[in-house]
This record gives sequence, structure tokens and C-alpha cells, in this order.
Amino acid sequence: MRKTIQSVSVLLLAGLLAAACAAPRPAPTTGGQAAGAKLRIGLVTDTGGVNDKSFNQSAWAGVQKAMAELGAEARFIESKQPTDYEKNIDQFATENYDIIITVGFLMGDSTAAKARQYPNIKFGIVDYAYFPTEGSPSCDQTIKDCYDDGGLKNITSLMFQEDEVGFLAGVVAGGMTQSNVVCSVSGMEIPPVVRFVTGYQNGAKWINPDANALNVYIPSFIDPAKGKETGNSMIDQGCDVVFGVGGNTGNGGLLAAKERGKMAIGVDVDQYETYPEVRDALLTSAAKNVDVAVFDFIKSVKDGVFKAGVNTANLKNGGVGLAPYHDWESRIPDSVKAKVQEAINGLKDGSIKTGY
Amino acid sequence: MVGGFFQQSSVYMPLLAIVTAFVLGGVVIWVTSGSLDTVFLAYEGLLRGALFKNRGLSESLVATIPYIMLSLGIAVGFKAGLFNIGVEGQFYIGAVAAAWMGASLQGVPAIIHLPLTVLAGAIGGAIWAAIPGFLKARTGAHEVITTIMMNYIAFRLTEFLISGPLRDPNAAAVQTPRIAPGAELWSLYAVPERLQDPLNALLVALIVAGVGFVMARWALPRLARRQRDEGRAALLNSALAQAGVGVVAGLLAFAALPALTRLWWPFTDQYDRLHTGLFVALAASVGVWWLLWKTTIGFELRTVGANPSAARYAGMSITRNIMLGMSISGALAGMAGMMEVLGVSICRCLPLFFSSGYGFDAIAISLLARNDPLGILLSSFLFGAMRNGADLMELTSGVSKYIISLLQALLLLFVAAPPIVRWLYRLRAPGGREESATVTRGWGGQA
Repeated sequence: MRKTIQSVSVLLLAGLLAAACAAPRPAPTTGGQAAGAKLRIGLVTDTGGVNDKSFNQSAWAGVQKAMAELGAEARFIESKQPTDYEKNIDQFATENYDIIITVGFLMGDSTAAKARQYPNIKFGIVDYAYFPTEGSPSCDQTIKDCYDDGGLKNITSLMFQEDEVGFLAGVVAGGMTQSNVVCSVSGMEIPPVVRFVTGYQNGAKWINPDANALNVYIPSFIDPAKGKETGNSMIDQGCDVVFGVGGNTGNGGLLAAKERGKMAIGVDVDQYETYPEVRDALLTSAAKNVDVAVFDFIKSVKDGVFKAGVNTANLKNGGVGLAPYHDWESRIPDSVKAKVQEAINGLKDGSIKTGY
Repeated sequence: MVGGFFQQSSVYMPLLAIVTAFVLGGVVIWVTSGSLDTVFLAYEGLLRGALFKNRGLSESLVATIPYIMLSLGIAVGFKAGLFNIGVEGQFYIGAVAAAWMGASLQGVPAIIHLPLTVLAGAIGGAIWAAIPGFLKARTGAHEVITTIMMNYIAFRLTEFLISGPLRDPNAAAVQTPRIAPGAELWSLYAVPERLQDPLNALLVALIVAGVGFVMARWALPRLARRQRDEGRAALLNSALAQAGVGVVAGLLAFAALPALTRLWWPFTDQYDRLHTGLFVALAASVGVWWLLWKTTIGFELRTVGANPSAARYAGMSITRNIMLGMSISGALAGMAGMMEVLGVSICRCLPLFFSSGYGFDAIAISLLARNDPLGILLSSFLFGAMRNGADLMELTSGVSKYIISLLQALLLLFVAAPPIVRWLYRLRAPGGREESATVTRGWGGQA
């Protein structure tokens, strides 16, 4: 008997120890069935996860806002690897969720396949637009618009004109650089990232024709070590404004700039808030309001005005924009701020092109 | 003799380890969530997600397939005295090789293309594993160090290949081109449809007849030895009879195949991702068991693994066996990567960040099964089911799915240190030979 007690107490002790190490998670919200009319939202993140300090985190923030303001119930699943996308979407679908939001360009094909499979669930995908192209696995019929005629009647694509806000970031960088070399530490070479970088480079050259823009694409969004290494090597080449474009990989670039006393520009969200470690160096952030787009999408479903197709957020409708300068407010010369305003106006009325 | 089965320490020790890990995991969930209900909610979600929800079982099996192949690879290495930590890297190289072979030929029927692609994956993994094998045999460089380093080279090399030379120029995402339809591994659902193509049917018939022939060649002479009747023994020993039995068995199995896959249908639909790689994994498991315990090659591998000096004295080549052990190990790992590309990936291509540590989980699986090829089937399924069920667990109970890693770590701890479990349950160590948890002997020195 004594031995049994001993064994059980050891088990409990070990459990407590392990529990102390495991981070507590928010307690589950109330059970699904009992909630009745509550809208149920599932979010599938890319491999970055909901704490990536930028893109996925912003999408989850939009969902959380919907939980608070629309009384929705929500959960997320973090994808471990690309072959999990379909499976993760399926988890929500088989649990009868009403809305499934997938975050990221890489989930395009999986989302299309699942949207066809579950025509009654509303899907929102961030950063992927389906274009009717022959032979494309997501939009495989040659038809006018694959959203309506092609069977993707239940998907809304939440797109952003990253090139516009990238251009503005380039204007700030080109205006602030002392060495005439600006650079970007980028994630995978996929269209949203390419839009940011193209805009950035052209923006820098627009304000400062002598500016030289360096860029490196790193085939990962979750590799801050490599981002930092790349940032450092570009600083060695004279770069003094580092634009980090690519989730955690880009964050590594920001950190390199901060540690070397250079300037940095964040991406996707106001990284002054999400990545306080680099505040000193952060001029601004090229924000795309994923949270707003996601919230608006959820609201459209809730209000019964869901529409399949592409929703593009740009400067004109306020869906993208530069974050505040925060600590740099007083240190950025008025001439640069005026140029930024000129670029904003020019981009809005179309007299300035981002070159994408 | 069920009682006798459970009295074997190799059976009850892993079972007790599993139970203990789950109980402890339950305590962790209880303490972190503050409610006992959450524990039951979590385990109910885990079980339902892994087995009972729509497509739950088949998704568990989808994750089980690479686990089986990779842990078989590790087991072969262990038996030959090699701790191959590099299966993750070999998995990547196998995947790249298969993606390249699958996309570089177009319009070739499956009967040629599929075997070629499978072979490409196996050879890719084998070559990647043979390099550390060679280094160990020639220079004595310890394979634990070299295989870990080869992993990083493999990751960076695949990144380079996918975003460089092998990149699909027409795709916006960074990935290799879609493989030709001839190289795809069929989903189980599509088998009857695929078999309507006579060439595909011929491919399957050849494979099944081949397996039947090998089995007949193995079984019939053993049957013959038991025969008192000289004439019948000679007949059973004749190659013609063996071929005949094999082909007949193969044809019967072939005829039954559509019906067998149809058996799966009540559980599934066209969206089911379970693929015929399952058969490959099962066959590989039997094959590894047969190779290790029923052939001269396996005997030499095990002898070199158990005692290199004795093996050398007996005239076995250490160099050759180390190279061979590593190559087989790598080939199995490479085939796991190949099947992920040909059977699971939605683009039927190789995107970036392909695996998330299948190869490292496999080390635990192999340990749990004590490197027994048939035990690996069970422990792979356990890990596959946990990996798959974890998502639903998180959805229904709010318990983080990373609790699974904790469960697996506890499980491993108890398997690696049998005295803990024995002490907890007040069991006596089995008399005579102590089952050994030694995974590899020393650092360098031998060989």
C-alpha cells in the first residue's frame, strides 16, 4: 500500500513539474452545439503560426475582433507543413464550422479543393486570387470567372496592393538613407512578397535616383537566423535601411539592423507594437490591414452579404498604409514626410506607378 | 496463449509505458486547464480525430506511412550498429529525386514511370546515407555526427534545388513542377478506376505475382523438408512449381484487389487521401523483417552490429556491411519522401518546407518498437494517430496540440528507462537476460 501511494505521488509530482513547463492556453470557449446561432470560425495559419509577429498574427487578431464584436466562436490550427493544409481545413469542415479562413498564398490550391468539396461553407483566403487559367489546379477550367462559373462560389480572396505601401516604405527609406544603399530581407519569392519588394525598390529610386536597392529572397518565412545573417551581410555592403519582408525571416533582418545601429522598416502590421525589441531602429512599417480585411469578411458573412470574388485592399480604401513613425516622428525631416504625402496622393490618383 | 504473449516484457513494457504516459499527460492537462473535464474532452477529441471522425482513420494512416518507412530505416541501421539520425535528410533527398524523376518524363505509362520514380527516391536516399556510411567505414567518423551534418546539407540543397534548377517556372509558388500522371501514387479510392487501364493492371499484376513468387520460393522448400514422400518433396522444390504457385497466388490477389479497396469505401469518399503507399509500407516492413532475420545478408548485418570484432574474425567485411546497412536505411527513408511527393502533396510536387520532423519522430518510434519491424507498424500507427488526432483535440478541448510532443517524450522516457516503469508498477526485471535499451555502442572505437 505504501508503495502504491509512493508511486502515485511520484506520478503526480512529475505531472505537476511537466505542467509547470507547459504554457497555459486560453480556456476553451463554450461548447459548440449549445451555442446555437453563434457563428463558428476556423482559421488555418501557414507554417509561421499565430505568433509570427506579422501576417498570421494579424489575421488571428481580425478573427478575435469578430469574436468580441460579432459574438462569434473561433479556433485556429497552425499548419506544420504544406501537406497538412488540406487536412487542417478538413478538420474545421467536418466539425461544421461556418467560415474557414486560410492565411497565405501557399494555401491557394488546398483552399480551392476544399471549397469545391464543401460548397456550404464560406471560405476566405488571404493573399491568393484565383485567375481562370487553363491547367491551373485551383482554377482548372477555361472560363470567364472561376469564382462564380468555376465552382468557387464560396470563396472570397482578400488581396492587398502591397506594391503601393511597399513604394511608400521605399520613399521613406530612400529619403532617410545616408549611404544611398537600401535593402530588403525577403521571404519566399511569391507574388505578395515580390509586390512589396518591387514597390520598395521603385519608391526608393523615385525619391532618390542615386539610391541602390539590394534584395535577397530567402526561401522561408520561419527562419529568423538566416534573415539576420542576410541582413548583416547587406549592412556590410553599405545598406543602412533594412526592410524585412517575410514573417519571422524578415524579423531577423530587422534585428540585424537594430543591433548594428541601422534603420529598419517593418512589414504587414505595425511592428512597433508586435516586435518591441527593434523599436529603436524602426522607422515605420508597411502595413497591410489583414485584420481589418478578415473582420470585414466575417462581418459580410454574418450580415448575409457575402460575395465570392476578389476584394482588393489598397491605399484608396485604406486597406494598406504606412504605420506611424513613433519614435522617429521628430527625426524624419519634413521634406521626406512631404514626399511621402506626395507619393500617397500620386498613387491614389494613378499619376505615380509602383512598377509592379 | 494470450497470457503468454502479454507476459513477454517486450510486449507489456511498451504498453505500460503508453498507459503511464497518457496518465501523466492527463495530469498535465488537468493542472494546466484546471478542470478534470478537459482531460476527458481532450482525450475524447484525440481519439475521435485519430480514428472515428470522417476521414480520421485514413488521415492517421497517411501520417503513419512515412513513419513506418523512416523508422524501418532507423531500425535497419540500429541492427547494423549504426545510429542513423540522418533519415530526415535522406527523406528530403528521396523526395527531391522523386520529384525530379516524376516531372522530367512526360507521357510515359505508369508501368515504366512509377517504378523508375520509386527507384529514384530510394537511390537518392541510399546515396545520401551511403556517404556517412563510407566516412565511417573508411575514416571512423562517427555516423551520429556526420548524419546530423548531412541533414543540414540536405535541407539547404533541397531549398536550392526547389528555388533554383528544379523550380516550376509557371507556378507562382516556389515548388517543383507537377509530376506526370504516370508517376502518381494512386489513392486507394481510385484503384478500381486506375485498373481499367490495361497497362496499369499489368503493372499491378506483375508486382503481385512477383511478391507471390518470392513467397512461394521461400515457403515451398520449407514445406518440402517436412514431406516424407521424396517425389512430392522434389516437386515442391522445383522452380516451376514455385513460379506456378506464385503466379496463381498473385492472380488471385490481383482479382481480389478491387474488392479489397472497395472494402475501404464505407469509410471514405473521393476526397480521401490514403494512398497505395500503405501497401508499400506494409511490404517494406515484412521485407525488412525477412531481410534481417531470414537471409545471410541480414545475419551479417546483425553480426557486425552486435560484435564487429567477432564478425571480422568470421570473415565478414565490416566496410561492406556498414555501407550496406546505411544504404538500405537511407533507401527506406528516401522512399518515404518519394511517397509524400507522389501520393500526398496536393500539387503532386515538392514545395518548400516539406516535412516537419517526421524523421526525428521516427527515432522515437523505432525505439518504442525496439527496432522490431512488425512492432514498428504498431508504434508508427500510434504516432500517426496522435499526430492526426491532436488537431481535433485542440479544437474541441482547447488543449494545445503540442501536448502530444509531451506525451511522446514521456513515452520515450519510459521506454528508454525500463526501471522507472518497473519501479512504478513494482515489476521484477525478467530473469536471465535483461532487455537492453542500448541504442548504439560507444563513440567510435569499434569498426
